[in-house]
Amino acid sequence: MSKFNILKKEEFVPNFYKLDIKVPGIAKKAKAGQFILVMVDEHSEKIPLTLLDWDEEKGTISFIVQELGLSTSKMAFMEEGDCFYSIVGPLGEPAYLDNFGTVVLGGGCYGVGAVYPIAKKLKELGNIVITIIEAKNENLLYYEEEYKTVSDEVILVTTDGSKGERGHIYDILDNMIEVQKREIDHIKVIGCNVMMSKVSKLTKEKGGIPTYATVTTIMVDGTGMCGSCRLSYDGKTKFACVDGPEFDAHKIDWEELIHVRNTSYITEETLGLQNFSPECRSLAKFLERTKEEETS
Amino acid sequence: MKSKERMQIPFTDMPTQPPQVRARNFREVPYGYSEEMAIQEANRCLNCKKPKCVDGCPVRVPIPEFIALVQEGKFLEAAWKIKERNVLPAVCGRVCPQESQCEGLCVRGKKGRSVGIGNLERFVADYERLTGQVPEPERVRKNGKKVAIVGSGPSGLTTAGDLIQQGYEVTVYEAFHLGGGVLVYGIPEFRLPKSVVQYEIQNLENAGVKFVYDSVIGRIRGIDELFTEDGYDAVYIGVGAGLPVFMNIPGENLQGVYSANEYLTRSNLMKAYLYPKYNTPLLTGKNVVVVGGGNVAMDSARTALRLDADNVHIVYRRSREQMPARLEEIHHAEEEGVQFKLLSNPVEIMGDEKGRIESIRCQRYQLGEPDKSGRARPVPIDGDYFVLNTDLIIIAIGNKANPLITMTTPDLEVNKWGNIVTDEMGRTSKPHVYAGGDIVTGAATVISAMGAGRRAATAIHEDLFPQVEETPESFGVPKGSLELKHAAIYPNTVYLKLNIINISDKDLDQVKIRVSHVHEFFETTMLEKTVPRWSPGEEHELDCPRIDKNEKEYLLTINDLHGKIMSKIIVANDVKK
Repeated sequence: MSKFNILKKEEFVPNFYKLDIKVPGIAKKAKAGQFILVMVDEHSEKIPLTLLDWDEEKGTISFIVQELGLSTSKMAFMEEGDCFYSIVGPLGEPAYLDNFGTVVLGGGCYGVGAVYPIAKKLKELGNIVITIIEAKNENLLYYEEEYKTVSDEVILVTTDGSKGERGHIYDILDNMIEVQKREIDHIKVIGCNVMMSKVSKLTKEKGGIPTYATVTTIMVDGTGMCGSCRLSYDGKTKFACVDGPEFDAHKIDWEELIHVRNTSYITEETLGLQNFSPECRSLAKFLERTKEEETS
Repeated sequence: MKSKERMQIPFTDMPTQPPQVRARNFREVPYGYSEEMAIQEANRCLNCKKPKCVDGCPVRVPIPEFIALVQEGKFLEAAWKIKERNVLPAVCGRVCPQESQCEGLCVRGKKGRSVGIGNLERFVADYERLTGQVPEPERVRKNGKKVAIVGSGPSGLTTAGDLIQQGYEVTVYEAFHLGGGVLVYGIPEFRLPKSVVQYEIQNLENAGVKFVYDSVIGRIRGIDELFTEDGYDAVYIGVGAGLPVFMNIPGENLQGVYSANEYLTRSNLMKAYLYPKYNTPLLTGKNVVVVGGGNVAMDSARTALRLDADNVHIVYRRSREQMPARLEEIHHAEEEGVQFKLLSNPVEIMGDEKGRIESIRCQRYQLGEPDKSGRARPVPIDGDYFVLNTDLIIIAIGNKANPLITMTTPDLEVNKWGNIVTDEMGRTSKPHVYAGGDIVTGAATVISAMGAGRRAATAIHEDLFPQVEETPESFGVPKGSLELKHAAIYPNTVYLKLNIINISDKDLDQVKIRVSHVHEFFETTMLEKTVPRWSPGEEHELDCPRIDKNEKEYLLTINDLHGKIMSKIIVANDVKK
């Protein structure tokens, strides 16, 4: 079953991989802000990944993987031609898009890529798009050139100041609002929950500029069946997989999401990663291949 | 054997793993009958003239017939007999609530134990599977119509099985990477081995059903697109309930609180019980609290025991008699050491500073006046609370309708709870779209979903081929080649006389004549006669002694090797004596 073949794999910065896979059904229906659920092999977890790009004609989809836990480490060891066991999508509601006026997009970690289709679409809708991308240092910044084609302004920010501004997305936003007195009509952020919660806190304090965040949660089925991805939103329980993943950031209970819901499996995740030995995997692959050669 | 002798045979219990042993493993609890046990149990069946058991079965399995075959030791034939009406016998034998269906109506149950119909069904289905003597799927001539089935749970599989036998091209879309729906994600291995489900799906595949996994209809394809782009002639929606109900009490989002759906999906479908070989983690607890009194609650509680819990409490709002779970499951859970806190309901979940749960506070209830459903209503007792220390809570209080499909198909009528509205045959408000199972009824049983799937298959066939009485050209037999010359139903006697004349100009091979009751969309065959060769002009007379006087309508169907030639409803009132 060569259903979900990797056509292309690229490591553009350390530990960040871009994978192109042929899934025509998803490529045809995907909309900016949606995600897929991926299983590497029969034994894997199902993990959600935001779509980076898709090509309806070629029937391909692309997504970015940040090597972090067990499943993403497995992906890092996959090669072109290897197959995923299962890919389901497109899932979730598309991002809220309109002609807002001036839009600031913030992307950190995996979100640097995930913001891209949204920027593209917002630009098409006639917005003035300002994209801020954040990384720890210059070696981890990616997609800068691509963003230039879909943004009116691209601002780079690194924690150590090795490239662009020094600091974080919320520092840049703070500066734009307080010092530069820029008119911002809409903000969207994708990245780690901590970064997004800080942006949310900031914009809530500064007059409540509409801010939307694409939350990162733990999921199982992605169809609203299990409730693993639930979060408290405006006093109600919402499921990120079907009600989101994009939400009005000001209404999210960030404290609960970051410190309660998403840390449920810290021990298991760490253990899982420790049990995963790249050497074993590479060796298994080597043995498999030599066996194939022998038989042929 | 005389009835008196049959009455003296005691009920044959199915041997099971001892409770202390099985509570620590995921292997199936009962071992199943041996051949001798099956025959002995089958011999308890009195083969009633008016078998009540069949009325209790939502798909009307010919129960006395298959049991008679078991009595003769014809196990394979018995399995095939069941399969005429039920495509998933190995599943139903294990998970049907027989005590409130077939076995509940068995006459032997009035005095002592009813016949172990479920056990026997399970035995013959397993016999067929384990001996590998599966008949070649019948080659059916394609009728040129395509049907899409959304969801591969029990109702979808039944619809698929029925339609493929009628010559449809059938494709089943499944959101998960494995087929079976609730049979794989919901029901644990120790109650329904996944190999059994896999086997049933394989059989359907062999018969020609196509399965498309990893496809969430409503997202990757809308219902309308299935018609316009993929060219389906009908769509059946059998997606299940699939939206967990939470209690809306403080602390429900703390770490260690699962919906039963999540807990069971992680354990069953993602095989978290084999962690870390399978990577999906599952929080385990030493003191587990399961909220709810249905089968799902029992499954969750027993899974928790097998994952090394020391104490498992089931907290249920009503009394033991009112628990909706199968009797056998409650019994098994109790044997394995699950403790019941009845007439109690959680009001708050307390956690530590890290967001991990620590305890659950429950309020005691008492039974009050009966409510609309006739069950005594549980009423909270003011100020009567108790606290259970816990590190894992599983909420199993039911499911609402998952809105994924209805949300993306605005012209599909739903009721105020979000369930799809259908007529009794499963027709929705949208032409050529049918629905059945939990998405229509709300959470119910496997077998009732299968009944709905069967009715929808009938409706699909009726709607796509509206005039079944007419001889389809493709069968190669000219129209009107058979004529029903005389039919007489005597109101006060129990005989049906039919004279049938063959006015075809050529011989017909292997003609099957069947007379059946048409009863709530199900057929019960009363007589089936095979005529090996039927020459032009030849008349056949049928006597049909097993007639129920109360029935007003009979269906007469005549097939030959190539398919249906004629079917006609005979109405008692129309026939003069």
